[in-house]
Amino acid sequence: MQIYHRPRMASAISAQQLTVSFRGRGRRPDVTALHPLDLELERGRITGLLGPNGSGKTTLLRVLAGLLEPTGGSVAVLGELPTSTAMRQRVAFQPEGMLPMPVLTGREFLAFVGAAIALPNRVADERIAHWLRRLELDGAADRALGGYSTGMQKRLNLAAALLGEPELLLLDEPTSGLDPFGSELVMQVLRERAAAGATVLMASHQLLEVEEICDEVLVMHRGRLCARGTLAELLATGDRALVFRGLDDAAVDEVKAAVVARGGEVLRVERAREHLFALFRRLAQQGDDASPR
Amino acid sequence: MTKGRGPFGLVLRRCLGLATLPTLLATLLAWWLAPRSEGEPLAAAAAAEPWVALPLLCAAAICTLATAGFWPMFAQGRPGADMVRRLHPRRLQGGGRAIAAALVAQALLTTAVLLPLLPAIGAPAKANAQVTATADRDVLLPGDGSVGELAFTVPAGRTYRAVTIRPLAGAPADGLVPTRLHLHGDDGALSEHEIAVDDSLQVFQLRFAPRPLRHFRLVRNGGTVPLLFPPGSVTVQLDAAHPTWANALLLVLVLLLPSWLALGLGCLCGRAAALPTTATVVAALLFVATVGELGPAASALRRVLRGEWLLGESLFASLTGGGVLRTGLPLLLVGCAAMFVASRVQPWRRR
Repeated sequence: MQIYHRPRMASAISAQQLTVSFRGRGRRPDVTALHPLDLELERGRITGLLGPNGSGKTTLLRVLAGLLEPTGGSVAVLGELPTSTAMRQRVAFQPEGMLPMPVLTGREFLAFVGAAIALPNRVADERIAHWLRRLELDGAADRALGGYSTGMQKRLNLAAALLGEPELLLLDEPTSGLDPFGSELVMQVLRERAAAGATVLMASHQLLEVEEICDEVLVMHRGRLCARGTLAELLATGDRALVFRGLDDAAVDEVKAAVVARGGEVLRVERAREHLFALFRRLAQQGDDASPR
Repeated sequence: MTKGRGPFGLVLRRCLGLATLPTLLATLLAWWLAPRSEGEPLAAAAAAEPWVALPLLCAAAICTLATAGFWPMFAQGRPGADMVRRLHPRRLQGGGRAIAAALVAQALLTTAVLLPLLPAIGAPAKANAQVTATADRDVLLPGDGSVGELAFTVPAGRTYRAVTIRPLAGAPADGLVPTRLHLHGDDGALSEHEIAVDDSLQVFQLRFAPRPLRHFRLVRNGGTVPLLFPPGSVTVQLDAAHPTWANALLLVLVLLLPSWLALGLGCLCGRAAALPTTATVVAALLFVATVGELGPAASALRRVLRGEWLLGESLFASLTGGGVLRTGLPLLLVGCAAMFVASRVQPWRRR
C-alpha cells in the first residue's frame, strides 16, 4: 500500500523512509532493494543517479514511476501519489531495454503512447512529427521497430517519454547504446527540457555525461543513498590546482621548481590534447565529406 | 479522439493483417476440395465439415496466437512490459481490449468466410428448427422382433417436415442384418423412404410433406440389430425456415467461445509464465475446444451444414444432442472466471 505525505511545494520528488523489499522465493531470504531513503528533489533540475549494478537505481525509478509499490515509507511525485492517473502524462518514464510490440512502426508506436496518455490525435500527430524530427528519426518513422538499432530505439523511447510534455522525466540509462552523436543529441534535448522547467532524474553509468549535464548527483550503493550534492561539492578535494599551457619546456621547469619551492606538489605534466568526442566528430565529418551522398 | 491507436485498434489491425490472407487461402482450398451436396444433406454435411472447419480454425488460431504474441501483457518478461503497464494501469493492463479486438477480428473473418462458402458448397439455403420427440413408452426396439414399433410424441400446433434419428445399436443375437425402419404418422406412412441401421450413432433423416403432427411411429420392417433411442436421439424438423446467413451469424458467435476461453486462460497464464508457455496453452485450448469437441463449435458447424437452426430447441439439447448452451456455457464461464482471476492477480514480478 502506498502512503501519501504532504511534500514541500517546490519538490518534484519527495520520499520519506522509502523502503522496497522483494520477498525471497523458496528458502531464499528477502532482498531489500531500497533501505529507508529520504529524498527531496527540487523542480527544474537535472539530477544524475549513479551507482553500480544492483545498487537500487532502477528500483527507485520504478517506484517513482508508479510501477512498484514501496514496502515502507512514503513517496510523492509532483505532489501526488506516483500511481495516480494524472501522473501518466505529467511524469514520463523511459525504462531501460527494448520497446514493446516490435512489429509497429516508430510512428505507430508514438501514436499508441499518445493515445494512452489521452492526447487528441491532432495534437499527438504534431508532437510526433516534431520529436521524430528533433531526435533525427523522421527517416525511419515508418519502419518497424524490430529493425531499429539500439540507439534508434533509445531515441524513440525518449520521444515517447517527451510526447506528453511531462513535468518530470524519469530516465533509466537514456544514453546507453547510443553513439557519441546520439548521446550529444539526447543531452541537448534534456538540457532544453530542463530549461523549459522540466525536472529530470536519470540513472546512468556514463559518468562523463552525468558530469556534463547534471546539476546534482545522487550516488547509491547497495540500496542506500551514500552521497548527494552538486558535482562541485562532490568532486571538490579542498586543494586548488594550477592549469596552464603555452610554455616551452624551460619555462615549465621553472614553474615546477617554483611550485615545489612554495611547498606544492607537481602531480603530472602532460601534453594538451583534444576531447575524444571532438576527435570523433572531426573524423566523422571528414568521412562524410569524402563519401559521395 | 484517440480511436484506433489503443490496444483494441492495434490488435484488431494486427489480427486482420496476419489472418486475412491465410484464411482466404484456406477458404479457397475448402471451396475447391469440399464435396458438393448431392441430394442427401446429412451425408454431404458430414463430408464437407472438415473442409469448412479449416478456414474457421485458421482464422481463430491466427487471431488468438497473434494477440498473445503481440500484446506484451500476455506473458512475463516481454520487452517494454513496464512501459505498457504504466500506460495501461487498469487491472488487465489492456488485455481485455486486446481480447475483444481478437474476437472482433475473428468474427469479421469468420463471417466473411461462411457467408459465401456455405452456398458455394451446397449447404441448405434455409435452416429449420428442431424439436425433440418424446418416446411414449419403450425406447428399445429389440432385434428379435418382439416389439415392432416405437411411438413418439411431438408438441402440437406446429408444422413439421422431417424426422431425424440417431439411435444406439446393440449386438444382434443372430447374424447381422441391418434393421429397416419406416416412418408412420397418425394416418398411415409419412414417408415412403426406408432406412437401414446397422451401427450406433448413424444419423438418418426421413422427410415428408409439411404437415401438422402430434404422434408418429418408427416401424421395424425386418433386421436383427437392436436399436435404443435415448432422449434426444429422435428429433423432428419444423417447417418454418430461417435464412442460412442468419444461422451462419449465430455460428460465428458460437465459434468465438473457444477463442474466448483460450485467450482468457492465456491472459491468466501470462501473469506468471513466459510467452512459449502462454502460446502453448492458448493453442492447445483452442484446438481441444474447437476440433476436439470440448465445446459446441464442431457440433454447431455440423448443424449449420445440415440446415438445422441453431436457436431452435437444439440449443438446449442434452445428452446425445450436445446442445450449444450445454457445451458452450462452461467455456463462457471458465473464460469469464479466468479473466476475473487475472484481473485480481498481480503479475509475478522478478526483481
